[in-house]
Amino acid sequence: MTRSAEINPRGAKPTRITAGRIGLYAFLISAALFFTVPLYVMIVTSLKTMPEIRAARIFALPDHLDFSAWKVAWAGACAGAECAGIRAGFLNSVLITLPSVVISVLFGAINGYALSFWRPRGGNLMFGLLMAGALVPYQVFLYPLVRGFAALGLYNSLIGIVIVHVLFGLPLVTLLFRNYFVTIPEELFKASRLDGAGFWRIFLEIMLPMSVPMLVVAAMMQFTGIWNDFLLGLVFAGRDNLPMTVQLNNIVNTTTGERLYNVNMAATILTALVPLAIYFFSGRWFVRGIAAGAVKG
Amino acid sequence: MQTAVSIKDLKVSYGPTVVLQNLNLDIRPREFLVLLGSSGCGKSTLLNAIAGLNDVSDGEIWIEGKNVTWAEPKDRGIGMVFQSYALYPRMTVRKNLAFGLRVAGLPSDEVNTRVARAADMLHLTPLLDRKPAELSGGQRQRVAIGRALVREVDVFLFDEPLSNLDAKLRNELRVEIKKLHQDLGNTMIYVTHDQVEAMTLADRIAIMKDGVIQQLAPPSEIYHRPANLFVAGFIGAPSMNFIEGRVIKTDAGFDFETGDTRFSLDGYHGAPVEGPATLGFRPEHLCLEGISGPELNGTVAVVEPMGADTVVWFDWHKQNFSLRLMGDSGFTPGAAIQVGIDLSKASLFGADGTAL
Repeated sequence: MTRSAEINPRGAKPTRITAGRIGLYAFLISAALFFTVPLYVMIVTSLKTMPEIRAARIFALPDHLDFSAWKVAWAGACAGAECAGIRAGFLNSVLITLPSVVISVLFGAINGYALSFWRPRGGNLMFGLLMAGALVPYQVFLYPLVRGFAALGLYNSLIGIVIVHVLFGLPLVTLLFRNYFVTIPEELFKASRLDGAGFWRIFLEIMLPMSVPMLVVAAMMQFTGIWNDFLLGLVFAGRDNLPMTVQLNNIVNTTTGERLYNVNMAATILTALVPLAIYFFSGRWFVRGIAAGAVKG
Repeated sequence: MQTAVSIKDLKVSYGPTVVLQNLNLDIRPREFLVLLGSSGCGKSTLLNAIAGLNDVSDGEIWIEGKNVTWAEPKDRGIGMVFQSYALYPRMTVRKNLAFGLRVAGLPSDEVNTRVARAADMLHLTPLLDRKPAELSGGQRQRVAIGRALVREVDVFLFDEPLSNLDAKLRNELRVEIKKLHQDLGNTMIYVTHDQVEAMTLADRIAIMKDGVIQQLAPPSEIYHRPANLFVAGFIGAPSMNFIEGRVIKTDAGFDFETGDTRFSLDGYHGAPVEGPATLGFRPEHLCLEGISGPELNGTVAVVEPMGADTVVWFDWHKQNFSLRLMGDSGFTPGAAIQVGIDLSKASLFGADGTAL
């Protein structure tokens, strides 16, 4: 007699814990720990006083909540001779990131729209070059760009750094939008042309409202990329416009006397807070947009 | 002759691939013309060229007496309905209908009047404030038709408008489109690969293959007097039966010979020519009783009852033939069957495939 004859299957299949399930959960939990443990250490360290830190129990909770390190990090930490915290860097980062994101996403969307629907002569070649440009490590462009910007008088200025970010962001954003727009049925474009709409009206009234998920994805990718950028900010922004990342580095690497680990941790968290918050609050949109770009219809 | 749409020596090519060449077509005012063909035959390319959505390489396109070869789609006086509906997903039905008029800069009360009229005609009034995603397939296609309607143009273009719908809705909308044509009296050019749509809707059908119009004629002529073998085989389901053989001239007239069978072609309407030929006859042009012409003695292979009629497939000289009978049939597979060909309704094709 076979087993299947003994048990008569009926209704929902019973779930069973298998070795595979256990392995899967073990992997997921360890992956989660891998990312949360450093965060935990940073947060508790930032809330401790220096004597507590010297006790070298990095996993222990602080004796009492002490936010003084956060205040110092924000407004009083020293980077070299200046002791103004990363407050100024925060403002610079906002001033650099916002226009860069808006301009690069908008231009990328226009590029992608023009490439997928209007198919200008040489469009494929231009797209190929743009992609090739995205593959070349951008360190290669640094020197020529510095010379070029210096000649144009844009070096060490806010406008200069925004232009640099827009230039380096365009290939990826264009690719995103091109791939999104090619999934939109061409008949929609034809219908709007029959209705008499031109290049800009089709873009603004038909295509842009349809690409909200992709706009969110592109904006988030550009935002985190530009906010987290260090090298370009260091090279192109100039002393007065140094972004938060550069200022963080200056604070952490300033060694006069004791290393203030609690201040360093607080400053680091403050710097990472904005992109972290963005992912936290719009992760759903992000996934939806990625899926919208990948799957047709 | 007055024409609504006139195509002169049209050539369309995508890079090195020539899709249409030297195509000439005149469409009469208020005519319902169907472009019929399998995919890749150039019928959609032709429609897009008329709409101005494809660039033409050579030739002229005239609509309502104007040469529109270089005109923008919106200036050609046409409305178009697409297979995928192509509704603007972020706009309500009302805004979908009004978009083109708004772009054209019409005053808003004129826009509202036209939208209301079109919505009324297509039974869309209760749906005006819905988004396309909240509509069924049939409703979406009606909105797409409405979008062409509000333009109040003389020529409507349909690009396989019913292909995305299920069979029942397709039949319903087909009737609606025919009614719309009767009410409006516009010129309509309709692309499809569905021969039932073509037969039922068209005043004239243009059957296309490889970018060439094979035959341009009213449906009944296409069906009963196909111009060549391709048209004969394309139209009709089950398709026309064919026997290959040769025509031989005799003292009394012409004979058709295939294998060891030979019969007279007396009663055939055309003008046979000596040489290799193909005899074609439709399943319903075979008879069981009152046989006067050639006779086929075969064996029943398969019986397909369809309710209103029955298709009997039988073998004759190792070839498969179909016979359509009204109502039910008493045949069972393996039974002997004797049928006669009604030569007055048959077609004869010469060696090059054209009708004799």
